[in-house]
Amino acid sequence: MTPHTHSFSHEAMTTEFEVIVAGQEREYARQASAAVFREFDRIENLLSKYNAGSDVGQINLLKSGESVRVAIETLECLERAVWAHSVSGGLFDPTIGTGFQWLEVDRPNFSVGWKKEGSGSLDLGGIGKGYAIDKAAEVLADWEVPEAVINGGTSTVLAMGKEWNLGVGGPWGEKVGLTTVKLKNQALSGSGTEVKGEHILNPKTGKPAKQHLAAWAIHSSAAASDALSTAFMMMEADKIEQLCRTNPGTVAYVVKQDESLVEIGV
Amino acid sequence: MELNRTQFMQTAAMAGTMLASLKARAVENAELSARKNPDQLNIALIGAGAQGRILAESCLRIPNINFKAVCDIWEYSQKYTGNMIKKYGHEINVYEDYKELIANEKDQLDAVVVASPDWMHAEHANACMEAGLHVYSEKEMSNSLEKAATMVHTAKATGQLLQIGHQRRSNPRYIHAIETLIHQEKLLGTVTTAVAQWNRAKADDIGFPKKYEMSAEKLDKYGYNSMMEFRNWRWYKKYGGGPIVDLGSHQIDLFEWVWETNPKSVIASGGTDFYKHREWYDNVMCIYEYDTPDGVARAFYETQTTTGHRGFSEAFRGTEGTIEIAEVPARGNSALREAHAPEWDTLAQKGLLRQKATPIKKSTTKNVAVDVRVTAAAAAWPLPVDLTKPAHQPHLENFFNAIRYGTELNCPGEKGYETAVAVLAVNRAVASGQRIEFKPSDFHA
Repeated sequence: MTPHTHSFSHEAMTTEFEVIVAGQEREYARQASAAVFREFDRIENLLSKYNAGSDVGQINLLKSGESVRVAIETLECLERAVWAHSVSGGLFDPTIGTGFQWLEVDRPNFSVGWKKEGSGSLDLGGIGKGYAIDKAAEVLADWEVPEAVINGGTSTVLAMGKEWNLGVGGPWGEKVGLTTVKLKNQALSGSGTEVKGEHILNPKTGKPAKQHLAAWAIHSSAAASDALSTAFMMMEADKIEQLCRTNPGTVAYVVKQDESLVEIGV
Repeated sequence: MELNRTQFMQTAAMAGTMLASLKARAVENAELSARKNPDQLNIALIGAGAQGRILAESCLRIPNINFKAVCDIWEYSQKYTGNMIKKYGHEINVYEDYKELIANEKDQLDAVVVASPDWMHAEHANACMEAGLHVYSEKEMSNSLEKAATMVHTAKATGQLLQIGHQRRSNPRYIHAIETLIHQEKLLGTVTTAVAQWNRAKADDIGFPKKYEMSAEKLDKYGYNSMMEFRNWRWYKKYGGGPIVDLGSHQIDLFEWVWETNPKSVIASGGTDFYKHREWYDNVMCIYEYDTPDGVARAFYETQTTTGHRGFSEAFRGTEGTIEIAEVPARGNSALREAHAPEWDTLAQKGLLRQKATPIKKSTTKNVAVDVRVTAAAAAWPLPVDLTKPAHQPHLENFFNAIRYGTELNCPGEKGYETAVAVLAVNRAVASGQRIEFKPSDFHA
């Protein structure tokens, strides 16, 4: 790290967030980072599945045919989740196989609920941190802090304002020679089997994702990269290629079962 | 009692008549209170910072509440909360000066939510009530008792509703714990003591985005000495009451609810020991005494701002058990039974407690007649009621229902004043090093 950056960290969403600020006085960087951390706490209060009063908590208590009015942020995050579900052929699933087909996101009425036919339960663990990072970028824009890195527990990183050289990390990255990535106004998110074992569940089978050993996604939106890296773990390489082609700006790195690295959209 | 069909029909008809008359009364009250259109309440927000936004977000979840205006002296807050409200399709006018808001908007408004810094609550709330508007005011009513009293007087003189933002008073979890379990079921026997705390980790001053810095003239116009004082007003005597008021007030309010009486005395210790540049005490510990029908009860309260140890929660402790509760259920949501207390299984069967299968197990140690170990911790019986809404929403709903249907306010100005008397006395006790004795008349504005 260059001496002209300042970094601050904060626990939220059961992970440690870090903000690295370049080109600012330390005190101003601290104040701006503190504003970012307050935003993380605010988003956590909306999206936590552990709190019955949060938007997600309320949605998960609804029966079929019921809906509840939620925050704009919850709607936005769910809209991105629905997009990721669509482009990944259902392999990114904010309901983790419990009933995505019944989820109703009603933007005109600012409500979310379940269709009459059935209900499920939401878990935004695969996209919430990325979404919070996107919101944090808006806070830093208010503070006129253009050059910064926002890091959500090392699984999703957004690099803003200049080219940042980011370490990819993890044994699979090292093994296949993917140790650093240069990013500017892009987010990188990684999913792998090395940190928590096989922790990603395939929503279609309910079993651990097994297609690849590790996967990374790059996208201008941290929410999108967060969700896509999860989906890439389960998607066949040709499907990932198709996704990157139809969504320009999306980059994928995948370590296949034979330990070879595939780069798509680079 | 078995009812035959005729008796049932008579009872149902009677209930129907009663319901009809209740409804008629509610409609009458609604017409009195919501003089514009009880189905569509038009409201404004004065004070659009972090707390104002939290309240606005809850209001937006309540059907048929329409924002018409937002006021804040700071452009950043105007945008921070105003833009969010606009995203919900509410067409709002944005004001810097609350007087302009009242002058321009009062004819179409029913109520105003006040979430400005504490020292402005009375001025804002009084002006709104005098303009014929109902007011929901954040706690503390004021950092000065004299100003808090004017709010009670204005509400009385104008006949407008004044709800104070002690939102636990409308939280179904707290209502169940205090009114059903403690008061009605006497679950805890005699409640002899209470402890509560709100501790926060060390935190430096809050800043502001450079492009939103207010000029010295503008700050001066609205009574603030500097941007830093404006942003960190809670720490300054002119604008706020310090951590005991910001954090303690919500919880000290509960002691009165549990014991149904105001304190008779308070002793306290605290100081400006860590953040030397701030005016208010960064740590306070205090003990209240309450005269109850069962004898003197005592409550210990502490607020720390240099350690987050054990966060925030309240415990009401009686001869037969303790209820541990916190606004965030993960921090407290259970009843603990004393070993000698009567069984609670019947209450669990009635749904008043949740049975948690943690019976004391017999020792499995072989060839030992008596297994001497530390006594097992009392089994926790989770409370069965959840708050399935944002924390402030039920209290706002209570306020709007009072306007619409004449529902009783859960924390009217008089109640908020009683709590302000008890809480603000702590700062006096710290400053003087003296025990403060209350007379019952102290609690009447």
